[in-house]
Amino acid sequence: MEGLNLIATALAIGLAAIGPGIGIGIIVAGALQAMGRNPEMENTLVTYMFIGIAFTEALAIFGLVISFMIAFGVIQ
Amino acid sequence: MSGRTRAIVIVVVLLAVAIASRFFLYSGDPHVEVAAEKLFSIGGFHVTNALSTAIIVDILLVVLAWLATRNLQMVPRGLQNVLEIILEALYNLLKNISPKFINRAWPLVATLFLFVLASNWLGLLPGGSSIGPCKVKEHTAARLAVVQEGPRAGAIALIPAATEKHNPYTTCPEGTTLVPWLRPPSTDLNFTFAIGLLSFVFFQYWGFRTLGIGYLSKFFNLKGIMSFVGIIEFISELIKPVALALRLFGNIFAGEVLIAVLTFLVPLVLPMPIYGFELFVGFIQALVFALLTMAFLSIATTSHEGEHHGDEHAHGAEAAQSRAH
Repeated sequence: MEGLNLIATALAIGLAAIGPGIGIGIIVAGALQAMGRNPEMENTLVTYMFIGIAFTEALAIFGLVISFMIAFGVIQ
Repeated sequence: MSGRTRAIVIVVVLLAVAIASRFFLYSGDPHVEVAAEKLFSIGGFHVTNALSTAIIVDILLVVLAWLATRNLQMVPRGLQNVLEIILEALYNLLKNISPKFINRAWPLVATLFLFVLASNWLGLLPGGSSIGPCKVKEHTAARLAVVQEGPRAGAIALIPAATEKHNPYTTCPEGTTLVPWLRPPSTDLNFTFAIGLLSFVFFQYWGFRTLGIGYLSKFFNLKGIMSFVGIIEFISELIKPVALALRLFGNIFAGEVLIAVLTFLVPLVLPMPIYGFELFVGFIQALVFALLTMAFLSIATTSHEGEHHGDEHAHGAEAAQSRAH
């Protein structure tokens, strides 16, 4: 049972990190391109970039919280 | 000594310190606890270490605000100047998102930002999670610990509480564990859910107040495909406070666990850049909480019809201009 818990913990965060990793890459790439083309917009773009990152990152954090819960026996 | 030799010497010394610290400053198993621990109770009301830290943060912020504003001047100096710079930068950032509602949302959003920021950074104080009273263990959940016997001895693994060994590196007597006085409130789900709900109620209230009963037609309507979109939007609206809470909790708690485990593996050198990184994460998460509250407020107070009308007006104005030219 302990071994299964370990595998579940690792899979929960490991799988949850794939999508947001790609997503944050796309967001930052887009923001950097936009800043390069129009440096005057930098302040606004950084704000919206962080909002976008926060939304995307939340998915990974859900996985992280689930893996914490499995790891520390909150859910079994 | 040339620059290159110096760099090599510094790296070698750091490595030596890191490796030596593993043997001489070994501190036993990392102390990681998902739920906040009870310090004492007043008439059935449990005071956890997260709650006591939240009160300390409150006092810190109130004292800071009092010190900065007791002698207000037109040309600010000292503490007043520092706080004005910080708050002005935040104000301008938030004004970008919703210029119309900034003055209404500012007191709440700025308070949330300062509170979350202070509570995130308080967890990084050295000694914060290693000073406190010894308590008898009450829970039975598994925890991270070092395997003592068997083929996997020395590895970190999940060990059920029943078989957990006493940590000889703390000053606590056998059968008790150390409960730290300080624990950042953001690593307690109760706290993050509370401020998540606070911000949820806030932007729902302003949504209703601005759009009237028509606010509900965003979610429930009978306009073909939009009725289905409305249901999805309703669900995503309900997820918002949960996402706010889990985002803050996950980020800060993960940082605490990371520092605890790294300090256990290599007590010196390696955790130091992580401390810098966690300072950054704590700031960004506080900022993101404020930004998202503002963004949700701005979304809740715009109606779908309003946007269309606005667009048509704008197009109409442009068309009229181009005709005039």
